[in-house]
Amino acid sequence: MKLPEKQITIISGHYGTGKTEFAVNLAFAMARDGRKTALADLDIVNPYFRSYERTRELEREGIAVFVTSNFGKADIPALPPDIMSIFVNRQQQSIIDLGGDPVGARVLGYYQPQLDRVDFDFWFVINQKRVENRTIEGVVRYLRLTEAASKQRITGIVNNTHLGDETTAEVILRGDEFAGKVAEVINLPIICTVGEHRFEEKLKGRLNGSFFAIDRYMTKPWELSDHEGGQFAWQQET
Amino acid sequence: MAIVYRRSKGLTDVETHYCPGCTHGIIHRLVAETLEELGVLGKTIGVAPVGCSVFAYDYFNCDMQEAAHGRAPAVATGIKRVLPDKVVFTYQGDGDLAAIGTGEITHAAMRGENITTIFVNNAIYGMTGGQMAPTTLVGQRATTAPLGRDKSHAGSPIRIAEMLATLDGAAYIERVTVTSPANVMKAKRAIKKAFELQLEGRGFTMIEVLSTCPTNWGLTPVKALEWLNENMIPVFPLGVYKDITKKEA
Amino acid sequence: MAKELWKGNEAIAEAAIRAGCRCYFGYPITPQSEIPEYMSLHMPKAGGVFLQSESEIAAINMVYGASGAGARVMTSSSSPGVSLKQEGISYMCGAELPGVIVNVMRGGPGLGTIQPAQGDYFQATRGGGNGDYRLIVFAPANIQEVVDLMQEAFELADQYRMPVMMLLDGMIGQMMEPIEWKKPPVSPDDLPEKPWATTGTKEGRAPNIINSLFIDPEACNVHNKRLEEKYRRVIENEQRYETNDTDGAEVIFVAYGTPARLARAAAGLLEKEGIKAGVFRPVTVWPYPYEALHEVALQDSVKAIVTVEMSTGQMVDDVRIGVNGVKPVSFIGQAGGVIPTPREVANAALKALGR
Repeated sequence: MKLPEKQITIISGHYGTGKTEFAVNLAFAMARDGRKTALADLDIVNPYFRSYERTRELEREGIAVFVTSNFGKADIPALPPDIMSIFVNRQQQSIIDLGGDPVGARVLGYYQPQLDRVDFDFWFVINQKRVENRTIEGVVRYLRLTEAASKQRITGIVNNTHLGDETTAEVILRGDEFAGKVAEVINLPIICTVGEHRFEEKLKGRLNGSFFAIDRYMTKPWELSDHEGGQFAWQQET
Repeated sequence: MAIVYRRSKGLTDVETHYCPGCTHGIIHRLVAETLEELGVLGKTIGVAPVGCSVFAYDYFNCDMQEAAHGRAPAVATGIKRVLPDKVVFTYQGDGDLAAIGTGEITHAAMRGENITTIFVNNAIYGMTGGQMAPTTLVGQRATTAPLGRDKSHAGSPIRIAEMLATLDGAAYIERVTVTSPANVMKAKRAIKKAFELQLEGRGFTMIEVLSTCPTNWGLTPVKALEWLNENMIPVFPLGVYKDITKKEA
Repeated sequence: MAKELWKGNEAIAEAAIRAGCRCYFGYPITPQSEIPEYMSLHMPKAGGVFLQSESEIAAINMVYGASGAGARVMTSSSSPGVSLKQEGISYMCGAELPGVIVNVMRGGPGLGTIQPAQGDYFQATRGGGNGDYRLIVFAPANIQEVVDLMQEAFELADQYRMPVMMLLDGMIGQMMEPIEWKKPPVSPDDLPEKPWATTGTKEGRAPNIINSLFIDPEACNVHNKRLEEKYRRVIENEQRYETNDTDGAEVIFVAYGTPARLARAAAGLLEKEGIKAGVFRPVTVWPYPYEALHEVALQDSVKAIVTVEMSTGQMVDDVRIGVNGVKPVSFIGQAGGVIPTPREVANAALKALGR
């Protein structure tokens, strides 16, 4: 896929769509492309499976990480003052990982004056295997609720249809078809279709969106991955 | 021979445990008569408290639930939300309602829970043996206030009727007593009005009944009535504190 | 039906509605707030009652009242909130009221942390309230199992007239997994009659009384003996457990919930190192499957039993009861929201085997 061109890319979607996995992978892709990158975890909805949990890996690759107060560990949706820098710093491209539903999208209301002054994209991640995303009407309804709550317009669709461990190429392909229909109905571009590297060969040339290959960082504590270590950032430090 | 007095159908044929002269007996009868007269005994569920009236479930001739101390309004909420067409009431004392259960009664009133609460205030903990209640008068002796309630230490009595009347969810709140036949008649009218409003679905209703506890007060039943009139009523004035039907008149 | 991705907390709420539950009372607390949130939207759509109570104490007493009035009813909370519910749970057991209580456990004691833990095992299995009582406690380890057990939880609650607890660690509540809805939804109209419920006498029967007060010691003793007899029947009939690769294993991990999955991963690591490891997973932690565990431990091949918990060691007491000295029992655990890694768990097994 073509990496973001704008100063800020906001990523939203219902929890379980895999927006956080996408946000973390996008940050890595941008950093590896030689860009100065920041990731702001502004998820005020989910207590677990947050992008800040990968802080160590992200910072190792030079990505600046911002997180809601107390490093996200408290269930208090307090916004950090230092996040303001992402709106000011034009030398850096930033990703905002929003909480996974219209409630989580409310946070953008706080930053409306800042967003008025920068170029940004607002991408909506969908996963057809989530109940709320089951139908086109469902997705559109959710998308519009997210826009209403955030007071911003969504500018692109990311298809991240998956079933966790049980994902198949077929599942992704169906999701891509579905995303194509959604995009048509609401007249928005498909930014990409997301899948693990292992699906790349099978899906080549069969997708509406360009393929964005990801590694899985948001693993469950029993899932053995290349990123050996616990679930949580502060555990990895030990 | 004409029958001039009989047991209300709203009461079971059981001898109560209350001390002779205790006003619980009168208040039970007023509630029972009301349920009988309104023809709702068969669709009423009562909730008994913890306190002297803990055995109320044996005395009222309708379905009953016994609640944990102070939780009667929450239990009644559970019942009423499941069975909105039934009549649900709680019968609670001052320890149950005004101390340990202040949160539950306040929020039931706040929600406008369509239930009726009979609040029996006798300014003392009867069941456990005469300890201080939140409604104990300043200077009144209790086993946990041996020199009398000290305002600087234990504060002043809580006025529940006035407090709950500030809540929009409260439909009818009146404070009555049963120290004379006239007062008993007034109390009956208040209780009946509360249940009638519940039947109309108007919201939370509570009748606070100033009551005696001759045994723990250390007075004869007659002296206890006098003591109530002279000492309690000045602190807990009788009257209607909330009546949503008034606004409409 | 095709699989869908569900979050544990949402799934448990939906599963309750599908089990015919039409009544929910609760209070928000992380990490289970998705349950009341889901219920607030979907329970009214199903024609049921959702009410956010003023406290956990009020919530469980609303459950008491609603259950007494004959409803299939549920509440949910997380550890500190479940502590507040203990009074009501004891009263429900005393008054023999059915109901389902969900505990999505976080780290404690006190306020602790919002991260997943299993420190409420004693509270759930020994009873955190007063008196001699028990709860049936299900401890599912994946979201499919959560939804499959939910209907059974309500059925057993009604059958035995006692509360059933779903004991999840926060990870199970917060994570996403693909599931399918295997059982058809239960209509509230098809639930068994509850002739004991307080629904009004219609002046045609003697009053029903829901009560836990038995002031006469003889009567209270008789009541307790009757409850004991009921619990004995539960112990006989309702033990559930799962074994994975325990036949001929050298080391047996015993774990419930998330640690059972860590143990499976650890067993995989050990297999690569030439050690056969199996996992014994109680699905009910009360009644505890003592005999089944004992049978597994008795195998000649078994050299060590390793208990894995997200606590400082609670279920290990039950493991010791079950194993009853026939094999050495050791423990590996982390508490307060820290989750042991599969490597740590595997290393604990190696240590227990003296390697």
